[in-house]
Amino acid sequence: MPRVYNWQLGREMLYPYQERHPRRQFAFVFNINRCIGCQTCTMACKSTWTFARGQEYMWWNNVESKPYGGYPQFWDQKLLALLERANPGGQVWNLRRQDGERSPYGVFEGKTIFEAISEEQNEEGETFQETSGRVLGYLPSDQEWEAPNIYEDTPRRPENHRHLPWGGVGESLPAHQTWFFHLQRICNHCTYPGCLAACPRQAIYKRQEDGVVLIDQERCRGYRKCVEGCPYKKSMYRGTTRTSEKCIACYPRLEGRDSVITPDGVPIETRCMAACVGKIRMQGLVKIARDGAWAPDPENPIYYMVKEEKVALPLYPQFGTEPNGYYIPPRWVPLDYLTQMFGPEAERAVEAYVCPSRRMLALLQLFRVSQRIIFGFKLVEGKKIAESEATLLNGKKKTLEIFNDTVIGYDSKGREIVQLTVEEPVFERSPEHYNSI
Amino acid sequence: MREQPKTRQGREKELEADDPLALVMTPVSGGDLQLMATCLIEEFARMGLKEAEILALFRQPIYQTHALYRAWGEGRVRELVRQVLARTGRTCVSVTVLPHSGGDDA
Ligand code: SF4
Ligand code: SF4
Repeated sequence: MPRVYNWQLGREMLYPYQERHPRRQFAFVFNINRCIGCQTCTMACKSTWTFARGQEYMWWNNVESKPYGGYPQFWDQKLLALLERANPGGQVWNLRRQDGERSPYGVFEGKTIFEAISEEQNEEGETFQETSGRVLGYLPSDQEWEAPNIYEDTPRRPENHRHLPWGGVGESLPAHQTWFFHLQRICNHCTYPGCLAACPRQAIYKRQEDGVVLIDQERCRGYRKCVEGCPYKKSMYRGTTRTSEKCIACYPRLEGRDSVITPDGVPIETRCMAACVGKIRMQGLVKIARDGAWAPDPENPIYYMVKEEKVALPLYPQFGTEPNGYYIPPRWVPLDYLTQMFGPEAERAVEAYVCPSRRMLALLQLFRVSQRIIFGFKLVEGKKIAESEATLLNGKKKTLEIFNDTVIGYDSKGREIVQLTVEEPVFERSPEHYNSI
Repeated sequence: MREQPKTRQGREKELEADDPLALVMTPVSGGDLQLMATCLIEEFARMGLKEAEILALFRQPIYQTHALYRAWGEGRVRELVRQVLARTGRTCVSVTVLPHSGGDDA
């Protein structure tokens, strides 16, 4: 099997195809801290792409509440368990081998879904490489796909809904008393897609112009190897067409070719991004160098957050697909959980977010101010106007300086899209706290 | 007298681990609900939300944060919102979106 370089793992890894990279890559940053779980993104996608017969259970965008939710149910626990079984105790990171851009998170010394396959055996005792498997995965059952947010609703009738005729019988059921956060999930348009690697028909391809991963519906014969091979379970089978389908990154919007939405031809963010009520999503296109590294572009918001501030991290990088979705981890969640989900830099990322640099604080304001993709941003510095406080992971407080800065966003043609100026924070003191600063 | 059924029926049956529709959850140790609520309120304050708007995100049953509201009651949540806002203030920004020849579709 060829060897390819995966910078998220800080090392080369096995992959069924030779390394080849697009010119630009579709990528996004989700700020988990601000998601309210309203599912507007989910419905924006559903009403655009998956409202037809045979697509009923498909949610290309879904938002699940961790730690107990998942769509399909238990997708990540199952994958982690498969990897652990294939390599017991060996799924570890070596932090001593951190080396700039080549291995910013250290080196992952465990096995990816492409590497663990040679260890995993079927019931007859054959390894998957001796059979047809190329990727360690599993096919979720129909029930696992059936109810995207099962167990996430409260079993009790809310106190302020006493007038409703229903709901009186659930009150004795236990309610979740645990921390939670909402995890927003779409296809990661991975650099080394598991779906593509698993497809026996070579029906899946990655576009040169933007790295979007698509399934050629003409070639697809519905073998569902991609459903099995995608560790994030973002390729889905459609019974009515007998082919698999997946998120297409709203490519007509991304190409800037939709004459109604974008007559001036600039790339527009996907439906799920543009609809986000919580203003947690930012999407972009990053420049890719010939060797697959991200070409330096510190004015690009996505590049800046992932590469310079390292405030946004990939989801389960240890799976090995080099996903292009990045997350600002939730700041209240136990660290061991975050480390398993986002890799060993989770703690540092949370710190970088809670007490952001001046430039990062300004960039956070640019989330969801326009549906035009922001290709560059600039900071115009103003005076210090106030101090505020932020709560750290350990519960301690830290002072945050607020500046009267202006941040400007630019589109793909270098034209100004938006300007934002931070004004003095407003303190509205209730009588009990009028003197509390 | 009616004869009792010999086997348990429907919902009376014991939980079976391989039943995909059984009510389950994944308990994960650690975590601090007070810290979580404080952080969430700080986040909304940084986005410029007012006291009543933040409280609404706890009061509305459709949001997960409602679990805290139910467990703690309105008084405790409101008090926490006030305490956090008094410490952090809420960040305000002025936004100028430059004209765009396209539509405003989301
Ligand atoms: S997330 Fe899954 S479906 Fe999307 S590119 Fe990666 S492996 Fe393929
Ligand atoms: S629209 Fe935004 S805030 Fe609402 S669930 Fe989706 S990601 Fe979260």
